Amino acid sequence: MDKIVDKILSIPEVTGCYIFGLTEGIQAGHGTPDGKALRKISMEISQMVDAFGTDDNIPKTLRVSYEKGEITLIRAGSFFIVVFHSPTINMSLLRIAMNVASYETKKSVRR
Amino acid sequence: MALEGSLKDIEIGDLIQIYSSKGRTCRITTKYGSLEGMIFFHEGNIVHASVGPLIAEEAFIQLLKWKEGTFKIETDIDTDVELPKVTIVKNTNELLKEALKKIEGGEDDAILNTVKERLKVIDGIDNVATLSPNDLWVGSQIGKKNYLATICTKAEIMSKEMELGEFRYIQMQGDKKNCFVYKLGSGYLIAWIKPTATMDNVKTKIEKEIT
Repeated sequence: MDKIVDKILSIPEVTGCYIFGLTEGIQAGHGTPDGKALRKISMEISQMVDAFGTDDNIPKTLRVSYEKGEITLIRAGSFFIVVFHSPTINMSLLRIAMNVASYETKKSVRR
Repeated sequence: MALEGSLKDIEIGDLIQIYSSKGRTCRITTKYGSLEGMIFFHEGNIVHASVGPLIAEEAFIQLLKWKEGTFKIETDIDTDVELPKVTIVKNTNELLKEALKKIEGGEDDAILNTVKERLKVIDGIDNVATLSPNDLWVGSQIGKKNYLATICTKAEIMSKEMELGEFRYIQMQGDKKNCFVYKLGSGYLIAWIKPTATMDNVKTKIEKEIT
């Protein structure tokens, strides 16, 4: 999973990338935020994804945009890849990388 | 010793007027479900208010709307230790007058409904809903029944935690539904997008209407 994270982190304007399971917590990742802030954010993200998951509509991708940064999530089986990045990032490139990362995460879990 | 009671018996506005006119230093904390609010008085002036992720005047307006829940008034305050960071500098009477005007005028609701009607006719949009500040604060503790309120509250909390500035929007693509959530004033607009529509095209059209 570290290789998957590194690939995402190599994209310009990505500040942090984490892979986490909704029940298992953070499995891999680094960058900003980290430490206490990351734990708090992870909890909020889990609850947000859980809330979106009502109506039998679990989100495949979720993008939360703020004035100074963005958080983009992609589902990878029972995991989520969470990327923190600037609002000016090239989204097309990020989407491609995240789709590949999602596929690779699912594959690595199956092994 | 703290004085505790129910907001069904006395309104927050009345409590504010009582403690403001007496020039007291005290802290009023309110609770409804898991949601907590606080108004801090220093020598009769409100210097800080908070509720959920909101602070200052925005929080004060939300707290004034509470009709249910409990309150606790603490007057034995050690100002050297417990005085919060000042987030409100307005005179209390002026603050109260402006907040009541905003609530009575229903400014936020009016804006939300106007934009909602404009968005409904955009090609690619399936449905539009609004979350007014009232829905938001009551809904955020109800849980899944009002899940969009939970989502908006979480988005605001994350912004505060990471110092990311103003919340702009959420874009969600799911198995059965796609949607955008935009902040407008103190409320939110939720637009469900037709599965056949291109998200980026619809986003451009929404942003044109919102701005």
